[in-house]
Amino acid sequence: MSDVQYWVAFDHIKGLGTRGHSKLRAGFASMEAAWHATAAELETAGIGRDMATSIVEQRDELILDDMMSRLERHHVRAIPQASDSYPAKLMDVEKPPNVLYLNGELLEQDLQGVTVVGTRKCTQYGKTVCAELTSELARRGITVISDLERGIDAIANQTALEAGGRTVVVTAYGLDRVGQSRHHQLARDIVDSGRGCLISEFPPGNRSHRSQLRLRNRLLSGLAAGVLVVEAPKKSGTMLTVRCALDQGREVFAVPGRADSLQSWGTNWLISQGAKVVTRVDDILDELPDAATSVDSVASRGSELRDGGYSVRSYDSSSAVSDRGRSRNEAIVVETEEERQIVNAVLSAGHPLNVDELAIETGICVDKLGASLSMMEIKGCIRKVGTGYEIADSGQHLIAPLLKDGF
Amino acid sequence: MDESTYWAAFASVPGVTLERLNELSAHFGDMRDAWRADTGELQQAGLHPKLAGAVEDHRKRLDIDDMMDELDLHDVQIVTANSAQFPKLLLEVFDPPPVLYVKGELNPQDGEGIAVVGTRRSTRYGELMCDRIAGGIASAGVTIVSGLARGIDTGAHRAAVNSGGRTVAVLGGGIGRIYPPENRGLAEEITANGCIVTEYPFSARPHQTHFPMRNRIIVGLARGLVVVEAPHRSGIQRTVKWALESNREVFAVPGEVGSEMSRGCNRFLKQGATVATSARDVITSLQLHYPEACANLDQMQDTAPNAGSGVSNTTGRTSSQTSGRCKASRRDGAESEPSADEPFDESVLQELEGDESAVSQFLADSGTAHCVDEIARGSQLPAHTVATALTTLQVKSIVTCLEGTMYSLVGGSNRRLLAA
Repeated sequence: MSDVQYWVAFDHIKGLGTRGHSKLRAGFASMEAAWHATAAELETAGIGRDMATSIVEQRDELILDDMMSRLERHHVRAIPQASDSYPAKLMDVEKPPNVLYLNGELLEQDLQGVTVVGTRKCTQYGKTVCAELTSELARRGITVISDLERGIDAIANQTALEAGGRTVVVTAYGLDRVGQSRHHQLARDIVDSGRGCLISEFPPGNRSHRSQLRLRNRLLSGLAAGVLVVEAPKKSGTMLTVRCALDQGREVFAVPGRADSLQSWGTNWLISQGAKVVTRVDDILDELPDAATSVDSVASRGSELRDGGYSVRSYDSSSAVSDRGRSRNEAIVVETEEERQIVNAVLSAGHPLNVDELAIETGICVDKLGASLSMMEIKGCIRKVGTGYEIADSGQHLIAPLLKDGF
Repeated sequence: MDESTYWAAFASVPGVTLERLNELSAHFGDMRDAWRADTGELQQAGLHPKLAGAVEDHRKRLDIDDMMDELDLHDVQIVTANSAQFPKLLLEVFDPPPVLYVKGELNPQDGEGIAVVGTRRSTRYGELMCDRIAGGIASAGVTIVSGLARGIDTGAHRAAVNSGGRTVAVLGGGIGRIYPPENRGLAEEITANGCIVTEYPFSARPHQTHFPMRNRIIVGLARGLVVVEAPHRSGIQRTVKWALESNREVFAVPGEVGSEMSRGCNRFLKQGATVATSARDVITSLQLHYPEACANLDQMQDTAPNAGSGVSNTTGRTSSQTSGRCKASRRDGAESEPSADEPFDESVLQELEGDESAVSQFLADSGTAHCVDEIARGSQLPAHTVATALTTLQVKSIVTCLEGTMYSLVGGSNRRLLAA
């Protein structure tokens, strides 16, 4: 039997920290030898007396075969630190995990990915921008790493997968517990699709504990080339992830937001502290040359986004999240001159316009305007917000060609 | 007649810069003599023959007495670049104006203000931030400098006037031709506690080409430039360039990705502008220049420090409240209640039940204003339930309705004001 099971076994010993682990590694030829060592031998390796006794007591109760069969049952692979497939860049992080538990495939390019994080209490704006940016990252072949928590994080994992890209989930609990999480279906989809994996440093059977969130955060940033913060209030776990990223020398990116939105407080603050401002994917890739070069050729699709294209398309992919919007391939056409004028007016205003404002902007009389607006609303080209009208999610992509010719 | 009159007379000749005027002044000693000198003498003083010709032409057409009568009639003063009253910082900009026409009072502190500028097509968000930032800066005692244009400029002046602070409006035309016309009333109010300033003669028409040049004066009168909202491409870019060239700090208010009017600001942030989410952000990063304003800010418990944590209380109706509050806290000084703008009091939420609780909790969490649809989506309640709850919450003065479509929580002090 290989040494791996003993690594896993030591992971089950309560109270044995990373430091204890490394002492064992240094003191014994193999983990197997360490596992069978007497308390006295353990002490010679540098383990404290109490711990040594505790190890001896605990290991009698642990059944190695059970552990390994549990891994198998949950399709979890264990990668000990000594293994070649253990990601070298994780050695950057504080207390690198002894064993990584993996469900799915972790590729070399995943380690050049971008971690997308944000608050659980995200706003509609946060969801929209998160979906837009992650789907674009995914289309460009960048792996999106996140933690499947509700809010921004799950949206990041989900849109990356839906956009056909790779995505990695890092959990703060044993991978057997993913099945009980809110997003278990998404987790299964990620593994089944073969375009990503679930990672944890906690063995199956481990239950999440508050203290483990912090450890998860350091892994989140440690695996990635950079961390993108979409929305974060003043105090949040997201900010802790950012701190880990800075400790590990990872690039930090933030999406600007309204100065009066609580959920954008953190991102605006990060920007004031020097985080890179992100309004489109190029802002990230410009800073991460390695990530950009590791990208496969599928990527170039994204380049059709002109510099000016972003703001127009920014609501585009929220349909992916809300699933209420139409699919983006469905054709909707701006047919008449009036409709074209309305679209132009709304776009140039940059915010929803009500009927009166539209009448002033376009010069179309109100009754005609009403008819056009109703038609456009039915076609899904525009959407009513309060008393105003804005370009609907599904209408966005139609507008781009309009803009090109002469708007 | 005063020598400054002749400075103004010379300055009104197209092509006569401060440099030329200084040469003339050095050569003739007194500008009165220069005005009477013939073209030959003017050329000797260093003017290009063409320019001397232009002066000659202009002299024939310009009646100095008429000019002065007009200025006197409208209480317009002339401040020349060589006078002590001329703002020193303004001399640092490219091609400083030889004279300023001033209506109202130009204090020394007005030459060291903060410029607040932005697009003419401002959004509600821009107006809100303008109100907060310009209002906060003005009530801390720093002059707000802007261009009296529609949109953000108007908002900046309005916020300063409402908060009882000083403000300077720099025009792109003569003082006799205030543009846009709807701001004439505002201009009047500004002269009561600040001034309107221009480099153009009294009846000069505002012209498209004047505005970029006008912006260099806005920058010249300020230590820092705050861009509240700007589209991707606009004249504001040029203003920012002026500011950087004149060594001024540039601030930008962050906004949503996808909002056209925040696109310019977010780009300025990318390029290294300082983030401005509140008056405090601006004043503290220039604290060396504004020690007093910093102290005032600390005393006032200005709206600013809560910009992130406070709950938005916005626009129109509330702007007068904001200003009332600022004034009050200014008067009270150290004694002012620390609760000038406390964030929304969460304990209120605990007294609520059911739908009302869900709705207000959602608003409290998001911290910004939402329309009914968004609230319904966010709180996972049917829209009609949300509408009912919102009405009740409005009656209880917990929620306020902004412009008929957006709802937000009322901050602590505002709730009290509304109830009164």
